[in-house]
Amino acid sequence: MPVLDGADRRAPAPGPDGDGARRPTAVPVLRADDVSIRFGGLQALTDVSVRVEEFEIVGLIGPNGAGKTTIFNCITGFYRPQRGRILFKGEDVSDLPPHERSALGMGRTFQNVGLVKTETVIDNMLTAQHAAVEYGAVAGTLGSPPTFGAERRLRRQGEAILELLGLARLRDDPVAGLPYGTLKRVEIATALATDPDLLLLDEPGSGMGPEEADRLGDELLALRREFDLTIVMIEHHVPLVVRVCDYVYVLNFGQLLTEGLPGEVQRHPEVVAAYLGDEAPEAEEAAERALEERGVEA
Amino acid sequence: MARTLERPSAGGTPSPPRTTVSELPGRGFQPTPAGWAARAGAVLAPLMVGVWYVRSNAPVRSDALATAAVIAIGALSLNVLVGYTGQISLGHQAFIGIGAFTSAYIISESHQPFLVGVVVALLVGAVQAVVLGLIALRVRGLYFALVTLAWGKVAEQCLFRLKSFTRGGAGAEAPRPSGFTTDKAYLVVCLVGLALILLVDWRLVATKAGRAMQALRESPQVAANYGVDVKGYTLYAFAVAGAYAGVAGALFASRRLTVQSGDFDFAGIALTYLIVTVVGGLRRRGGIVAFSLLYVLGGEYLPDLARAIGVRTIEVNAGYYIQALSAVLAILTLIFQPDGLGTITAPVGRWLRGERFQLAHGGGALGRGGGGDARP
Repeated sequence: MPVLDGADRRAPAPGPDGDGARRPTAVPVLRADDVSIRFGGLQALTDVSVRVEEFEIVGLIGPNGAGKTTIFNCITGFYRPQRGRILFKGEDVSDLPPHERSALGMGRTFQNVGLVKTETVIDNMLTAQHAAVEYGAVAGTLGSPPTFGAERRLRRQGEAILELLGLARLRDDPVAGLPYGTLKRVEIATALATDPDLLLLDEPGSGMGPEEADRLGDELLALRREFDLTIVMIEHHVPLVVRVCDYVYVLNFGQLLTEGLPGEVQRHPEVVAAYLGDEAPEAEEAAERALEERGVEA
Repeated sequence: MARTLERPSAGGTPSPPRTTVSELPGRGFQPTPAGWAARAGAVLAPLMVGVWYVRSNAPVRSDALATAAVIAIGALSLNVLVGYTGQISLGHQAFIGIGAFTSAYIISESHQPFLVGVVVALLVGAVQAVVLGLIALRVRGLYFALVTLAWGKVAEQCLFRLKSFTRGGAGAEAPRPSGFTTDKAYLVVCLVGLALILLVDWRLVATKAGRAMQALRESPQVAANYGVDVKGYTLYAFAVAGAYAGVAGALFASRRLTVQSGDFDFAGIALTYLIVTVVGGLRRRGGIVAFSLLYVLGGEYLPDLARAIGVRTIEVNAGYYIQALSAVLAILTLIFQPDGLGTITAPVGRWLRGERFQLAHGGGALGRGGGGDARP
């Protein structure tokens, strides 16, 4: 992991190139091909295809019930789609269980905070490094000497990530009892501890005010650099999406409504109708401001 | 909407105030020499009392302590399932009994040394528990509790009556290892067994397997997201619990010298061990060992106490009263003090390791209502 050495900093992601098209690479980090899933009588997703290139931050937006979290669950393996494939770094992972996808480098946060609540923050950081642990379960249980040093290294690594996110003072606090916004940040720290190449964030900005969301945006951009991350995020906070995302997919009723650069998507008439609804003018305005600040030609 | 927008410059890091780990309060606390002396005294004093107790009393007292050690191992086995992993076993008489009869069989029928009996009992215990674990992957909660209850009964009524395995009503003989045939010497064997199990349990919780179990207790989803193989570690938890129980059974058998199917009933083993686990404190191995000791000593001294105060019915039925009292204690524990005796033993343990003495602590489950905690 690059946290400790801090030397390896990749160039920023390929930015938008103005004409609305992305430079596709041969092997995108993530490809979901024609994913369809049905729960009983409810068609939750219909032929949804998503492509995420390396070092991009991709936004996934859409109204409630559009299937955003469902596609996350298909990508991470908690749901098995009836049709379609998931390719991760060129490899078909459609048949792998969630923990194997996590070990391959998919990190994820949950809408309702996925942490072990009875444990402390640092214990969560240790658990999250499960796949990276170099000793076997039995060796650990029987107290084989190398496991002691390995445990110390895990702890240092966990502490380093907490420090990087400014969460070090929470190290020994139990997760239960921390405020919601803090939990969201701790969860990002644990997701980073799984050493992901692809980070899937489910509403990272929920429960945050505009200024906190701003700070989150800065952080995501910095984390991408620091950890060489590719990020997909579900987010309702449109200005945040417009500001940090390189590309945006819009879901509605389980189908892909449109996709494109944040600037275009946000003006797309169907998006305005389906997603922004009555709030459209106000939200659009805010998004435009964000876009200007970002320095992208509107 | 006023906002200060500063895009991070290259190499820039997130904005919130940084605290480094080394600046955290509580780090670097070192007890004074007197503090260390007090801690050493706190360890040595009970040890000396224990030695005095064993040496100055009839052999039956050391046998009682051996019983306490066996119960402690059995309860630690339940703790792995109920405490760490959030599974349940109401059929632990099967776990313990299978260990006991296996060890007896290996020693007296296959004429192998005692240690081989213990090791085979450990392995067989693990295997039968994993089979039960395979069911736990398919049936959950209340329904799985029923399965374990049934498994206990099946073992009790059928398995332990197989003449070829258990010698039927006559009982299987399980001689003690040579050189450790007296009660006092055998107590040493049991204490060594308990110490080894405690060491393993410590490392279990301190390493990735233990963390994986605790994560999947609370949320299989979160565990899987952390990279934990939920099925694999559920089975691992059963294997560890079965291994502990196998050891407990082997020690149990040789303490009795002969074991019969009637020794392993629900009320005597499964329920008793579960109560000891709960009152001792889930995930509190110190509390569990402490309450095993209290439970056995209570049974030893209650008759004397009853005679002294002249209550004949308690004197005659002390065993029942101890069980009833423990059951009441278990209920009170669950309602008022979910950490059981661990409420006391855990801070003492941290103090012995050189921390400040404080009752509440950041870690552990002390009084913090986390969801999804599977208490029986």
